[in-house]
Amino acid sequence: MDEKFKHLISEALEVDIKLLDEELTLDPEDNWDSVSILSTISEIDTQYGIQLDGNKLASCRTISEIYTLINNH
Amino acid sequence: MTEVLFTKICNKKDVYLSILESKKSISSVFFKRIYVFFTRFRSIKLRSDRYVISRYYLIRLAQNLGIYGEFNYCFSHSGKYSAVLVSSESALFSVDIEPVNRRLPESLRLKVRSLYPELISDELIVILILESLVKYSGFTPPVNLSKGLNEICSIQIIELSKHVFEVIVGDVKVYSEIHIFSGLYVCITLELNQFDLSL
Repeated sequence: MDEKFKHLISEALEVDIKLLDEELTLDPEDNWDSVSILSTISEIDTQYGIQLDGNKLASCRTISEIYTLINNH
Repeated sequence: MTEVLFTKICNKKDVYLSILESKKSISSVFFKRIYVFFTRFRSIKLRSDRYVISRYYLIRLAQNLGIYGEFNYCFSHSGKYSAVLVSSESALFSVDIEPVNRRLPESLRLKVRSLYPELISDELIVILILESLVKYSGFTPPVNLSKGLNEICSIQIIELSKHVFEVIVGDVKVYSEIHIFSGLYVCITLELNQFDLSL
């Protein structure tokens, strides 16, 4: 994962960038709620110029899965 | 779960708001899961402790209100808090809660501001209103938040006062009211501007 992506996730999930781990779990009942998903869609759109499918993004359970989704787009 | 607030919210209809704070107790979830299994809330979601506890509480709340038949309800969860609206009437309503100090990324704040430049409220309040519209039962959700904020141009939000908003979706008009309770924004959307809530 590159620094740009880490910064993006740090902003979207309100997590300190130093604490980010690629296996950080995304829990729909905790840190992966609708506002977090909306924030991530918006950040990816701005930083990468990509509009990801929100349902695919919502089904991610680790941040490395988000990274893969961006790279496969 | 401990109830931290219970109040009537509308002066024309019997719609009640309850806010709950969760306290984990694994043993009690086991029995609640069995209880909920034999109700209308039997679902694959029974695997989720939060689902079990919140539905168990909802059933007990309805019973305490003397509602033993059908009832309408709407949930919102944020961290250790859950909010639920419940009514035996055919009232149309929805609720959304978020921590007041929740920070939105700059890109999202700019997007909200570009969509609603005339609003002076916090961008998070606009998000709360949009989220409540997704759950509002009076129309097909006009916004799919999983697609981002790119498909919501047809929703008008007008600030009637500091915390009451008129929201126009096509030819339907609804009203959203924002309150702050225990560090949470509580957004309630009703079909009428008949709020009777003071937190």
